[in-house]
Amino acid sequence: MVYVMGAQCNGVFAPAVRIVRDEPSTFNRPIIDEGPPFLRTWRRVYVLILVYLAAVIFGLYLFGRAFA
Amino acid sequence: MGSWLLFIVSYGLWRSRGSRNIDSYLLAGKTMPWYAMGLSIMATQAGAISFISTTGQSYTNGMRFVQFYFGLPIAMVIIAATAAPIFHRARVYTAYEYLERRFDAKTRCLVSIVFLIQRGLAAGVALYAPAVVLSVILGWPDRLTTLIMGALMVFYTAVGGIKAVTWADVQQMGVLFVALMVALGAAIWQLPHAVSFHDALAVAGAAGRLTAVDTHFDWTSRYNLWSGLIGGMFLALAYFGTDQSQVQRYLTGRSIGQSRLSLVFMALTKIPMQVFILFTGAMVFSLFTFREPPVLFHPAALAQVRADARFPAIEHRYQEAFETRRATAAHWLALRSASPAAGYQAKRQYQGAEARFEAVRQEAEQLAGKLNGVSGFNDTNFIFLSFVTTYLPAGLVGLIVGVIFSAGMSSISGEINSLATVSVIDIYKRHFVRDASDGHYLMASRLITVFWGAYAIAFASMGANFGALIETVNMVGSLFYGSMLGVFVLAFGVKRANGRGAFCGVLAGETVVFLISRLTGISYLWYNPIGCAATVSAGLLVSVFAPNRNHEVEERPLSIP
Repeated sequence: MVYVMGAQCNGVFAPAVRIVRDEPSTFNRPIIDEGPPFLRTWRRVYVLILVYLAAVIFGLYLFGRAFA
Repeated sequence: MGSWLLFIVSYGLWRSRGSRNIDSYLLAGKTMPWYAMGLSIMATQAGAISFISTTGQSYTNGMRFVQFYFGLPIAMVIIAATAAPIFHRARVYTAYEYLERRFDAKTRCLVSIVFLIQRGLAAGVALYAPAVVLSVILGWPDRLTTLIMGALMVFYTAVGGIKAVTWADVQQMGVLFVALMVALGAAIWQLPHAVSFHDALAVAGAAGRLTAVDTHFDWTSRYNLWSGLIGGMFLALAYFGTDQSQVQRYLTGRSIGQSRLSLVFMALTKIPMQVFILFTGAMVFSLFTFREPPVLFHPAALAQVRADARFPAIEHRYQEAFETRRATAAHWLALRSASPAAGYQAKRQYQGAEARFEAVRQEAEQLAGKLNGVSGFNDTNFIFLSFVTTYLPAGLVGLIVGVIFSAGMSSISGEINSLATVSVIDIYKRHFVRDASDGHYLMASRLITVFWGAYAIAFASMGANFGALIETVNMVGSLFYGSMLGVFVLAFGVKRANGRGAFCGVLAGETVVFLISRLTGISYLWYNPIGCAATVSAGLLVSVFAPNRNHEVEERPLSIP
């Protein structure tokens, strides 16, 4: 068995929750939502993807024009 | 090749050891790392038929097919920010299970059945398509190749579940990259000594094979920047956000962050991978500009037209057209750097010769179509394999054929696994046997996996018209995805939406898309946004004017804040 630390949620402190580790269902585990390994926030990662997409489209456009 | 297939299956099974309950069988116990999920999602996408047909498509039409994927990174961002955390927090096995919590049982049942119909049909064709191509290349009966692929795939999917599928996909992606690099290297290596890599680019570019972006807007054009960005985004949203075969992959993540990272991985790597595959096809085109390709790439069709009295005249014109194209290309390349004006003139001559060459090849295709009783015969799917079998040494041919076998198995195994998951969780457990033991549902999942595998093999064995089937499945898929996406948009983003509205919305969306497909010439990529908009509008209207008073509204944490 394992105890998960209590956490503050919407201003209310939730008590520690007991979780039975050998329970067959994986759904009893706490859900973890960690940040990205780079750029600190997911929002920045998403912006990076959109900038990357624009650059890829522009690069492909130029590549096609160069050899057309 | 045989060793490789055995390795793939054994490795998948070894990694899936310990899948002894329903959670680990269907969701890998939520233990998968981001790279395994990302590569697995990618492997399902890079199925055998896309591997062999995308290169052929680039050979015949150029790289514009890549625009189909321009909307994908945007869709990945939206799903990573919305659907992935919502499904994780809802603690569901399937995307459709969430619909019952948000709406009601009938909406979940309707969408599950839509998924089973659409994906079941696709699984049969996904098995049939590469099996037929391999049977032609290897000279084996198509039922034998179907059976080999189908039996291996059913075995490791039924025994190992999602873990075996995912880890087999990871291996398959690794070898796929190696095979692609070998093929590209061989295409460039086989060019005549006088033709440099830059010359090959010029030859492909002048023939329009390197044009990847078309900025002109046209509703009826299948691939342009706008249909790719908007239509492609809706298609990717529907596919990755609502199709259980994809949702199940990122639900296996050990955390929301890992699932998000797998989607970010897809967003960053999918377009470069497609560019790489398409570029290989363009280089095969450059090679075949200087080395004569067969009149038809489909070996059986070629043998058939050779026996026809009209063929010698076509073959003669074909050889003349090839020689003219080769000579004008060489002439242009020689003049290009010396004199720009003369080079321009020579380039126009080469482009004219290329158009004449294509026209003669179409004559041969039409003849093959007449002899086979098919109106739109084309042998695009055989171009890449014709190149591989002609220009690669025997060992590498075995590698590529092995990759196609495993790529075929990889796409279908994920589909079969998701079909079994929806059948067990959304139909069997929900409507027939509600409170059985974990072992009972595990056994049911294995048996239903075998059932769907047998169904796919039977469907593939009965397939008669390869081209028509693919067209049918693409059509059927695009008919359903818009309304499936619409019902999830209602679930995630419209708080007033209720079960009655969602159910009616799906039916209305389907009706609108069916009518548009029958009555207009709008390209199929646009069916997805249209179907989604129709479902959301109708669902909202019904929810407002016919509220479902007795139904409890879903708790907040499961919808977008």
